[in-house]
Order: sequence, then C-alpha cells, then structure tokens
Amino acid sequence: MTDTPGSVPAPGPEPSSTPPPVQTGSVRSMGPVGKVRSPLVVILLFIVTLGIYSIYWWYASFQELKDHTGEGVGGLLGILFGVCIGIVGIFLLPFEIGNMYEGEGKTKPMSWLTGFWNFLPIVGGIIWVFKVQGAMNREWESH
Amino acid sequence: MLAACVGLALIDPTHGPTICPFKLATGFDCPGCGGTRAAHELLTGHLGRALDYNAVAVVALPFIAWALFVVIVAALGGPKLPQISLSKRWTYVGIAVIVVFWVVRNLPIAPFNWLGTGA
Repeated sequence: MTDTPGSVPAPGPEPSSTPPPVQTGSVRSMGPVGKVRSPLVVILLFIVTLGIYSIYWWYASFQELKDHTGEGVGGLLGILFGVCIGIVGIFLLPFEIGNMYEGEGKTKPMSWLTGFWNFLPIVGGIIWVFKVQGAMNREWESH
Repeated sequence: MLAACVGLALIDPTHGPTICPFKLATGFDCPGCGGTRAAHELLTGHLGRALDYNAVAVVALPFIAWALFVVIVAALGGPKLPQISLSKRWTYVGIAVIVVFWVVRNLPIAPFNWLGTGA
C-alpha cells in the first residue's frame, strides 16, 4: 500500500489498542506494521504541500515505529521533534529505526549518524528520506 | 544532549537563513517556525523572547527534553526510564492545539499576531 496525494491521512492505531510486544529471549515479537510509502511520493508530497505533509509524515513514522516496537517517542512527540526542533528529529528517526532492526535480531541498516546526510545541501535531505523511508518499508514488507 | 544544548546556546540562529519551505513559499509561519530560536532564547535565559518566537515549542520543551533524555540514557546502556506515553485522546488534543496554533499565529490582528515569529 502506498500513499497517494489524494488519500486522507489516518493516524495509525494507538498503543493503548495494541497488545504490547512480548519479550522472547533477545528478539522481540513485534506489533502491527506500518504503511509502505514510496520515498519519491513522500518527497513530492513534501514539495507539493509546501511541507505540510511532513507534519503527517513525522507523526505517522514515529507512531508506526512505536506501535510496532512498543518503544520510542510516538506520534505527537514525533511532530514536535520533527517540526519544532527538526535538528533533533533528523537524528532520532534513524536511531529508532536502527533500534527496531536490532530488536528483531537483524543488522542495523542505520543509526543516528544517518541524520548527518541532511547537512549536505539539497540532495542530502532527499538521500535521507530515501534511506529512512526505504529502511522502514523493508521492515514493513518483511512481515 | 549537553553538547547540543551548549551549541544551541552559543550559536544564535536568529539571523540565520529561513529553512522552512512553508515560510519560504507563503510568507506564513508553520507551527514549528521559531522553534530553534525559542530554544536558543530559553537556553540563554530569555523566557519572554522564547515565548515570542514559538510559545508551543516552549511549553513542549520539558516533554521534549525528557523524551530525549530517556532515549539517550537507553542508548548509553543505562536504566530504562519511563517514556512519555499519550492516550489516543491526548494525542488528538495535542495535534488540535498545534493546528489551532498554526492558524492563530498567522492572523494579522492583536493579540494573535504576537504568536508569530514576526520575521
């Protein structure tokens, strides 16, 4: 499933309605998976909506990570980290994605260091979205 | 986190370039506009100026700081501290506050225009 420009953003299920992940040895069993989004469509929506879509994207990304792993800051704080103090959000999101992979006993595809891509003018942000959204997509598709 | 706070306190972002695409395209403030400048003013002891730049960011900063502290402590292998967890209702209330703040801060009438960045 991919986001389309005409789709109505719908927040993911809340943690309260999600059974908490169960700890089984060193590998956690996970909650519901998030929505697969094309990184290209995400970037186009950022541009077309003058950045308004990014508010939903920050919310959805952090909330889906929390729903899946039972850990993390969640959607509302994700908006605050991503929009109000973006310098933190760009490091925190890849950090949480890396932790999600590690929690499943997989190799971490990224760490907080991925955030430094954003300091490369113009293309850095695009690379960052492709890396971050791509890593989330691979995880959602693997379930 | 300490290094980030020190850096933000020492580097004044007030006269930096506008990086918000919404602000660049429309001239209006987004809900996050002024957030970094508010953090800088707060870290240098200017609460009034911080509120002037972004009141919501200032109110949210203690929660943001705690959430980040929990993440960093866990990343360093420290104890697992309780993360802020909001119910569905409070999440929607928070989103509604952000949306209302976004609209109101762009109204060109007092006292609402005080909520804008003024830049």
